[in-house]
Amino acid sequence: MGFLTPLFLVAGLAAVVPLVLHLLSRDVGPVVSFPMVRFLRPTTVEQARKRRPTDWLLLALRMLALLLLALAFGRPFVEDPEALAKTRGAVVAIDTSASMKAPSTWAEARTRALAAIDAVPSQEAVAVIAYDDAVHVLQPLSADRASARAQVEALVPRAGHGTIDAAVRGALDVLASREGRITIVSDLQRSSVPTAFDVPEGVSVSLVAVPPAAANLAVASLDGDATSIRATISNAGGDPRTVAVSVSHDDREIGRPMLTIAPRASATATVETPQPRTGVLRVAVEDPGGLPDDDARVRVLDPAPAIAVFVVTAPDRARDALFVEAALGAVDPSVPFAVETVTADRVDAAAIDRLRQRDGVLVLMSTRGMPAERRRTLAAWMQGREGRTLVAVGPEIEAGALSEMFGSATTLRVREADAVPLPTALVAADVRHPIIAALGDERSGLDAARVTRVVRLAGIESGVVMRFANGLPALVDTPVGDGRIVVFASDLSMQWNDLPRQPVMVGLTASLIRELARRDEVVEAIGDATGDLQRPRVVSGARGRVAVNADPAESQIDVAAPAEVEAAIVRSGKQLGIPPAAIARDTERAQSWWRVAILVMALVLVIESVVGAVRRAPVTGGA
Amino acid sequence: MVVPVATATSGHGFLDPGDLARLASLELRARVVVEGALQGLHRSPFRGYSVEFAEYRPYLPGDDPSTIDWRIYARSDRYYVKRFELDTNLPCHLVVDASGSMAFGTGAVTKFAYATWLAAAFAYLLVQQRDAVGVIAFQTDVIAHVPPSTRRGQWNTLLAALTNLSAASTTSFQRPLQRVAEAMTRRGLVIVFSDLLDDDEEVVRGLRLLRARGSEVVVFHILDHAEVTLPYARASRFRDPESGRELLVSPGVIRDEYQRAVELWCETHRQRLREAGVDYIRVDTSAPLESAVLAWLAHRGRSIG
Repeated sequence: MGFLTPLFLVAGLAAVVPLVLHLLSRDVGPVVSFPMVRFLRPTTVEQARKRRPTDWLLLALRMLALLLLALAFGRPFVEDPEALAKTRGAVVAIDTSASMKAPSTWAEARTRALAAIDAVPSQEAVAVIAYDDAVHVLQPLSADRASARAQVEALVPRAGHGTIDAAVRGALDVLASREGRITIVSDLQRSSVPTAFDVPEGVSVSLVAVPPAAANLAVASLDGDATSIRATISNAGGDPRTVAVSVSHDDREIGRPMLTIAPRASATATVETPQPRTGVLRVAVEDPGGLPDDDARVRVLDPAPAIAVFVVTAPDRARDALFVEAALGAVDPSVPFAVETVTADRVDAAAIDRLRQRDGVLVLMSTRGMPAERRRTLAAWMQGREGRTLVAVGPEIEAGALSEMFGSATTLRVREADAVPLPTALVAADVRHPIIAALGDERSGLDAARVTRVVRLAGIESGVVMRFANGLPALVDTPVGDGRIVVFASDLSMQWNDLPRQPVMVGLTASLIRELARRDEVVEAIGDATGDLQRPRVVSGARGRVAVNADPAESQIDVAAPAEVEAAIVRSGKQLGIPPAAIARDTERAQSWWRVAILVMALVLVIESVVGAVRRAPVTGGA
Repeated sequence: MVVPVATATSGHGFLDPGDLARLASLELRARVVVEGALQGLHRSPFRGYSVEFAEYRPYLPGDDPSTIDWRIYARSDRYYVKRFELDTNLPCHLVVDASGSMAFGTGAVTKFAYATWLAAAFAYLLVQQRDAVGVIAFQTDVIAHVPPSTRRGQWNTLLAALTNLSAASTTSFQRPLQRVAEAMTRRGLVIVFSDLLDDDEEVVRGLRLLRARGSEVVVFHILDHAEVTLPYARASRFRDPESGRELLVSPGVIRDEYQRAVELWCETHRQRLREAGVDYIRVDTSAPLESAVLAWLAHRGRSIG
């Protein structure tokens, strides 16, 4: 048994001191006011009787309560025989990248992983992680071997690409400053081995190499034009391969050329037919002994869907949308825009539903005349995950209404700008911002715009993309709730500036709308939806169909020797290990014996109160 | 004479001082004490004090039936008793010791409270008899003085004076009793309520001075029960509230010695005062006040009757 703060035990011993003093001292009471002092005779202290405890049970109960209090403050704990073991851990990291899907590879990997778990000394905790595109902690450090084995038994390889250094970082996170060992079960695909990676002192890395696929054919690319469709097939094996390349369009085979590929080389199969404008093109080869995911590749030929743009104008100024519409109509038609103009007073539930269904971008040029209920509905959309809004704060925008729509989702507020030098021009403030970067050389045209009136944007935390030449923020890109807004501190309808008349208006408007329409998370969501288990495949999303193919890096079966991996380890010298005090603290916190001591003390005090009440003699007065 | 320790359950049917303390006003306490004491008495303790007729008054319980004028009864069918000159004009001074030592008390009441209640009881008794009653309170000097009077409202004046008193300071008998003697224009009754904790010679000298003026003097020597028995168990520092003198005393060691000394002191006072013609009545504050009243009435009955 140990104590976190043993000094309090000394305080517990001090509880005995009053008893000793009590026994040694004479019973001298307090001063008594007494008028008949003239009849008293002074006596010496020695004549006063010595104190003697009159109730040993009460004394014992009170001393026990004090000792329990001292014990509780001492923070007792029972030393865990496994505590030392908890200072070390073993992590078994299993490669679940696509290359592990080779028929013989995965079975061997599972066997080796189970063996690695069994090899961990019984006094050490063991954890199991899997790694591919990400690190998955299947079991944190635990003494439960059966659970660890069960996790491995249920594990299947995925389709991502994993690296050794990512696995080591994940394992170190699981070890959480403990010393220990990391056992990596992998095919040691060369593309997964970094040139160098840090491993702290106190942590050993063991490599359990499982044999990769002996040979592998992979569809490396798929391309086409108006005359032909071309598929590049790579052969990672050591023998030449002759294979039939199946090219199909919407599940209908349109060609099956034969192709012979030299060892560790690639060859292109061509089908002399124009590439269709729509549908799904698929190329597949037969590769029974190789990796399954790269045996086919798909390509979605559907044209990019138009970006829906909803422009909200003032009720009597629907023509204000013409500048935006004209600018978007002038850009590359390969990425078309579908512009719909709605006046503020006609923004109804149906319009908002269309905006939502078409995953559109809102260009808010006016709030005038918009019913409060519609404003609230629109604000809810703006602040939601789908919300993508460009606000041109011109004369038709009511600052109060806009603040109400922003609510507490952003600190950004619109205020009247006064005492600023006007007219002014536009200047790029963040040239790396995608909106400005997409402008390229065109951004020099911003300087040509003449702005005669602006609003002041207050409460900006970050995201100033453009400024006026007088220093005021002109374009601010900021989140609002879960949504995103870009606020232009002037109008886009030729009232306060001549920007719509400038050539840069085309590129700037398109850049703004495309940036707002960009949905990185859609692709990520598709990747998650597939579970990375079935590749290649075609997934339908809000912006149309998306092709999901295997990572080409996983098609390479060239492997590194364990010695090469070990040579890449760089010892950082970082001190590991959990201090004994921390172990004691954790153990004490987990056991919390002090609570028991406090509870028992409370119980003792209750008993003391009862005993005291029963035995208390009636008070007769006097000293 | 020592009034024995008694309680409300002692058989007298009197109120314990603790119970009496619960009564709201001094007036009520005085009435309860007097009426309780007089209940069951068959004759007045003042019978025959003078032979000079003064007036008739209605018969009250406790009056001697022999004083009933039967001729008036025959005419009016009502009982009247004869009053004599000294009965109605007896000037009585109630002298209350308000020194700091009187504030002591280990029971329900302090000695001072007991003294004021007792004084109020006697005042009520005497006012009922239409005697002239006054109050003098003293510490090192007289601190309150209500001259004896039979006028209407005297009872309320006395109550107010007694209620406003508080015990403090030291005691000195000589000067206050001299002032009392000077205030007395003719002989009368002086009742002193005190713990007599002053120089013994001064106490006796002062009381003798009153007696020398021809007045009847009665001393109620009021002591707390703890002052008689010294019941304390633990050795303590005992401090005199008046002088501030402190002594470290182990009561168990000197208790017997102390009790003997106190008894001797009381007995000495009793003897010396008796020799001076002063009535001495020792009162324990744990005893009902009625006992003290009755003790005096009985004593007076013996001395007069």
